[in-house]
This record gives sequence, structure tokens and C-alpha cells, in this order.
Amino acid sequence: MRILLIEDDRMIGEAVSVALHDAAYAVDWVQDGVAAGSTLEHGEHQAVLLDLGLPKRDGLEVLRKLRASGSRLPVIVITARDAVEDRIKGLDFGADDYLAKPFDVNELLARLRAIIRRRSGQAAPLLANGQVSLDPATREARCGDVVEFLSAREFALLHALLLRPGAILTRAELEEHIYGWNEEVESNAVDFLIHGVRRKLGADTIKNVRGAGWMVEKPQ
Amino acid sequence: MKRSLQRRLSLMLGGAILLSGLVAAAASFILAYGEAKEFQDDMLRQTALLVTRNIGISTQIGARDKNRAGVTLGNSESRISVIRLPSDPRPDWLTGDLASGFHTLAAGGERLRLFVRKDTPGKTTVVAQPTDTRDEIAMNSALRTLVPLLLLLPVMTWLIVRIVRSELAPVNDLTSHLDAQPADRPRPLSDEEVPDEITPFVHAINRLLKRVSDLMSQQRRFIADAAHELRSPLTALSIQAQNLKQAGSLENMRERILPLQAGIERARQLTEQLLSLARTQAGALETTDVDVSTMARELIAEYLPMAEAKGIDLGLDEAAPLMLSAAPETLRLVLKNALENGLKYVPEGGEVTLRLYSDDASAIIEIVDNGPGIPVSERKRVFDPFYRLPEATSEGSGLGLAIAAEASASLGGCVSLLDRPEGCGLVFRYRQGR
Repeated sequence: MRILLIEDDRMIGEAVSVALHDAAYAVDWVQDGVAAGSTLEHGEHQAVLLDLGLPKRDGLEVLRKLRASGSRLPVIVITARDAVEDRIKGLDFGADDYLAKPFDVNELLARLRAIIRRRSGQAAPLLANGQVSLDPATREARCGDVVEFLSAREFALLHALLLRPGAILTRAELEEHIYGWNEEVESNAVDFLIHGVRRKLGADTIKNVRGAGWMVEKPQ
Repeated sequence: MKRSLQRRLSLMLGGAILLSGLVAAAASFILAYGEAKEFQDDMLRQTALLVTRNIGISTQIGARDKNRAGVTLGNSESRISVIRLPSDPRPDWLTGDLASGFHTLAAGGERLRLFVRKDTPGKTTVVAQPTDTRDEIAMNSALRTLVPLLLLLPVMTWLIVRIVRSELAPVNDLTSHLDAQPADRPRPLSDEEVPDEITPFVHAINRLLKRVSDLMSQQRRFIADAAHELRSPLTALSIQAQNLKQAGSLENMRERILPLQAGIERARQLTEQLLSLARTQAGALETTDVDVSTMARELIAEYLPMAEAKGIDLGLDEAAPLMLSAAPETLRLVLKNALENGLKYVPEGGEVTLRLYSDDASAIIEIVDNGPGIPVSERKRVFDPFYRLPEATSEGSGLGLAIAAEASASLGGCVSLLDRPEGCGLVFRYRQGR
């Protein structure tokens, strides 16, 4: 799961990146509104954390442009502007959620999980396809009676697959979910992670479609 | 002493009307009195004339009361007495030989008005009447003037109070309008339906309200900005602490302590800056003679480690030893913030110079750097609290120059930003009159 963090404060940016990393997200971080705008055009991310007081272009303007382009990307505004009018403005400009600084990082992660699962059409906190279920809050995966705690990258991989059960994801797509810009993608990393998940939950959890990619089965 | 305009107006107008009413009554009394006097003198003269020409009337009238001196005409109230000398007996009050014309005498208990007419030698007609009647007539006439006035007085009072109250109503309206204003966002008063005399007053109040509300919005903005600035390090701290908790290994934990410490340091610096800004705004400290040259050396020594860490050449350029009358802590605050700013924005390998000199009128302290400078259009705004240049990437709070400006104002000096004449860079200039 790749998150775009748009935050000009270096200290907060670094700290949030670390926290997101710990929670098994791949994070890309930009520090001004113009860079944010051009990054968003590529559509590589699954969610955005957006600060409002940005240099060069204001966060609200970034958000307005994003929504004007028709993007449905989940956006959480994180800002020190906590007046009610600001919240209303932020939400009306198209934010999915609004979190005022200083916030608890666990709350940020919970809200992030909520908007991601909502955007993928689910209301239940568990991602499941009838065979495997995954709890994004605890990173626990369950298959039958087997309950396993997944590593950050294993989780990111299974999460990406479970968000779109029945769809085949290519190696590149999976890598994009798992790695941020600054992370070096190890060769065979995807194979290695899939091997890990299969070992923990059973070989038939993730299906390999030769030459095409990987998928989890659609719920029956 | 507080004075009610309404009560004063009512009292003054009422008093003026009462006074002029009394004067009018007195005048009418005097006039009526004079009129009655003339009228009666006229009557006495005519009676005398009639009596002289027509003895018959006199005899007829006189026949009623023969035993008294002369003749008494009419009823007891008018009591006109006619005496013909020498034929009538001379009454006690008619003493001596009176000349022709009018006389006023005392006769027993009352005063009499006489008309003496000498017809032929030795024959005299005297017509007399007590003055009581005349006074009574005059009094009645004066009272007739006074009574309607006295009746009018309560009506006038009521009217005056009503008029004064209704004329002063706009003032009361203004009062209640002002009272109804919210203290945090006062709206200007309307000058419609306000008398011309009060309009300038309303405008003055509006100007004051404008200044107050400007000041308040400035304060509000400062507080909002301060809250915003305080939130950032707090947010960073809380996330950093959380991250520390999530650290898997001891080594990882050590790594994560570093940003936490940096966050604490940043919060400390910001708090200190906010406090020093508040202190400078609170008022000036005691002024002494400050040896600026020594202070400059102390500051350079203090910031030398920071400069060396960034590879910045920090130095002093002093034309002559400089003394200045100032509050030393406040002056230090000005220089410290300017110096910190210079060191923060000058790129590695740059140069920052503290320059001291003076001209005829003032002492000048400059902090000269060869950094990127500040565009002319932004040079005023950078003195606003929390304002940062749009492209500034440094983690400054935006308070440094605001503190320097505030502190220099409390010293009676002024700060400005100029281009460095020798090329790129910025000159921060503090100038204080001698």
C-alpha cells in the first residue's frame, strides 16, 4: 500500500514516514504543493495525507485540482488549522477525512485504514475473500484455523491482492504497492514474499497465473 | 461630577421660562399699576371739572351726606370725595394751602390721592380718593397675567421634558447600540438619524472601534499563528514518541531517539522565542550605556560554533568602539535574532559580518551576509510574526525578525533590510539615534 505524504514540516514528515513504515505502508514524501501536484498526476498511490499550509501551492488548491481531475483517491487532510470553518472547507473541497494537529499517530493509521477499506467498497474492518481474512489493524492473517502475524511487506502484498480479489496483479503492480520511491526493490522480492505468505497460510491462498501475475480468489 | 444633559436642559429651560414669566408678570404688574394710576388721576380731574361747571350735580350728591366734610361720590368702594372750599368744611387731612394738580397724602389709616383745582381766587375744588382701590385694580390686572402663566407652567415642564428626551433619543439609541456590540467584533455605529452635532462624535467612536478591531484581529492572528507553530513540534514529538515505542531493536530505538531530541530542542527554541517576543512587547527594560563592541564580540563567540559547523566565516568589522544608550538585554535580542537569521540562511561556506559604525546622527549596527537575500517586495512582510518566505525550506519559526523589530522599537531604534552593496546578500541594519 503506497501512501503519498504531502507535508512541508521536515520533522513531522520524517516522523510520519517512520510511523507509516512501521505500519507496513510504503511512503513517498513531498514537501511542497507543486511537487505534490505533479506526483499526484502519476496516480501511483492508494491514499494521500495532505497538509494544508504548504509552500508554493496551498494544500486546499492541491486538493481542488485533484478532485477537478476526477480522481477518487482517498485523502486525509492533516493540518494545524483546526477551526470549524477550516474543517468544513477541507471536507467540502473533497477530503475524505480531516485530522487536526497534534494528532495521535494510531488514530491517523486507523483513519487511513478506514478510508482505504471504504474506497475499496468494504465496510467490515477485515479484508476477506472467504478463504483468507486479513486484519489491517493488527496485520494478522487467518486461513481456516491458522492465524499468522505477517511481516510488513507480506502484509502489504496480501493487502494489495485482497483489495481486489479476483483480479490479476502484475509483478510491477505488486512492487509498486510494496515499495516507496527511495526503497531499493530487491530482485525476486515478490516471489520471496509470496513464498512466505504461502508457507504461513497455505499454498493455495495466492494463485499464480503463469505469465500474468498473481491473484486471490473472488469470494464465492 | 457627572451631569445629566437631559436633566440640565430640562432645568435650564424650565428655569428660563419661569424667570421670563416672572419678569413678564412683574412688568405687566407695573404697567397695569401705572395704567390704573393714570386712569384714576384722569377720573379725579374730570370729576373736579364736572363739579366746578355744574354745581347742581354737586349739590345733589352732596345732599346725601351733609354732616361730613365735602361730598362723597358713588359707593363705598370708589369713595370719591369732593370738597369745595371755602363753602365746605375743611377736613383734618387737608392741611395748608395746596397748589393746583395732583397730590398724595396720608389721612389717618389710609393714603389718599387728591386733585386740587383753583377756579377763581379763594375758591378751590378738591377731589380725593383712597389709593387702595387703585392698587387693587392694578393687582387684579397683574394677577390676570400671572394666572395663565402659572397654569401653563406644569404643561410647559412636561413638554420640555418630552422634547428634551425625544431630542436626546438618538444618543440613547447609540448607547444601547454600543452596549449590544460583541466585544470581540464591534461593528461601526451608523450615523444616520444622528444629529449633526453628534455625528463627529460617532465618527470618532467608529475610528476608535476600527483601531481596536484592527489590533484585536492582529492579536487573534498572532495567537492563531502561535498555536499553529506550537502544534507542529508537538505533533512531531508525539509521533516520534510513538515511533520510539514501535522500535523493534535497541539500535533502532537509539536511531529514533535522535529525531525526538531534535523535536524537543525545536519546541524549546520556539517556546523561548515566543516568550522573548511577549517580554519585548510587555515593555522596555532599564537603559544603561552599552559597550556594543564588547557585546558584538560576546555574540560572535557565542555563535562561532554554529558558524563553524556550517563552514561560515563569521567576523567583526568595527570602525571605532561603539557605545550606545540602550537596555542591554533588548539590544542583544535584536542582534542575536539577526545574527541567527544570517547564519541560518547563508549557504555553507558563506560569510556573515557584524559591522559597527556611526554617523553624525546615529549609531549603526549591521549584520551583513552573502546569502540569497530577500526580495524587495517581501522585506516588509518578513518582520510580521510567523511570516516565512514562500520558498524558505528551513525550519525557522518566522519569529526571529519579528522579535528583532519589536525589540528595536522598544529601544527607540529602527531596523531595515537592504541589499548588500558588494553583491548578492542581505544587510540587516539597526539604527539608533544618539
